[in-house]
Amino acid sequence: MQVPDWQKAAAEELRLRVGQAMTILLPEGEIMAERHGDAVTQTDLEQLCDAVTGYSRYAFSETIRRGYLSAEGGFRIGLCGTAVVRNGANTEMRDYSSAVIRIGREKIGLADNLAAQIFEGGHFVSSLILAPPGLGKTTLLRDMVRLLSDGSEDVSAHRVALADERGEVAAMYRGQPQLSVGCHTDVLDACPKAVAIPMLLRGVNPQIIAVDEITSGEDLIAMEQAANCGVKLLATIHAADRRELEQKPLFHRLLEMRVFEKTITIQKCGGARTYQTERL
Amino acid sequence: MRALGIVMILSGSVWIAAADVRSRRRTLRLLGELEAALRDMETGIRWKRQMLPDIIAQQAKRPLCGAYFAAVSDGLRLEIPLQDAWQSAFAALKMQEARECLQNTELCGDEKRIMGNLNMAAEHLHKLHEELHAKQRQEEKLHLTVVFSAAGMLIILLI
Repeated sequence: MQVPDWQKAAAEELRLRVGQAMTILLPEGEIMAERHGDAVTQTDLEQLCDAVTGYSRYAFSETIRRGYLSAEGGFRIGLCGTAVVRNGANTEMRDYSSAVIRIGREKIGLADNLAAQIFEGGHFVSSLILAPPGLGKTTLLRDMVRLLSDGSEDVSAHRVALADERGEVAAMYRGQPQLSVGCHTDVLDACPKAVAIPMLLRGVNPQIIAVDEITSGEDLIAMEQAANCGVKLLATIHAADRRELEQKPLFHRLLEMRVFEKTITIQKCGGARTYQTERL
Repeated sequence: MRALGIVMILSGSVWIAAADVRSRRRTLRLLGELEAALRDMETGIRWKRQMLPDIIAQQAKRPLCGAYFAAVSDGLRLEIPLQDAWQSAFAALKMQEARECLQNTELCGDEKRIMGNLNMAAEHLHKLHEELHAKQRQEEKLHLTVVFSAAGMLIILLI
């Protein structure tokens, strides 16, 4: 790749599209990996899938069906191609047309400064992380899960259950998290949140349940049931700030249910991210 | 002296025939084992959803054909693409038809494609095994006839 090291270090994604040269997604935008690079072929994408799955695509068919693959090392490969739809659901993917390799990065210690704000009287309070796409909701969630699970000088260790529906938080690969989610964390991945939460509640007796991206009323109902069982919750939701959150239909349900007590809003000031905690 | 010569020729012939029978039996067992290994691979994919490198490593424990699968596993450890490792491992197989069948078995693609290819190769090996078995039985009968005829001739000569 004809890309300087500083750009390689900042790369967020590698994008491969059949018939086009590979590109790299940087914070400032997408650039060509090589000025006159060879066009990506379908065989390249097939080989990529074979390499990631250890020549065993069938063992990853559930996530391929959903359009992604989790790779060793915390990388995530998003796939596009021709979907084979049966009874209204995608059953498989063929004729791959593009692949997006998302470079997994974790920021260990990111949540350390927030610890004091999400505890009251020595107990964790259910918290909701708000941010628009690309500001690091999942990264913060992952580090909060790690902190709550491992504990620290100020925070006691908790039994955390993680419902990782899209496999982005723990990036599980053959039963092992590829990113740090703490030593007292049980992960249930590739399962819809509304199904995963009751399973975790019954199966692993958690103190805290963490989920990424609340998107539906079913998720909230499952969370309410968990909260009624005395379990604390940690979740993320797409919203730039409190005002945008208030415009979402889900917000009124959230308020009625009184599941969450605090919000953590991620904002970008200049180049740096700030974290603001508020009572909900 | 003449009788001794005949006995030696006959013993030599019997020894060569026996060695040939042993070699054919070994080939038959090898073919049977290869077929069973391919069927096992198919089962590992269909019912156990095991990873292909793990399934191949399991087949390396087989007494006769294990070495070929071990060579594939070694190739994978050296990061040689599976198809290349597979083809080069089975290049060492002496039986031409079985070698070509296995080398042409593609292990890339989705579940249906891999299982279909494994099944087709296993069927082909099964057919080869049956043909060879029938041929061997026929030749064994022929060998037996030759041995009895020679023995009869020896008795006549000795009389």
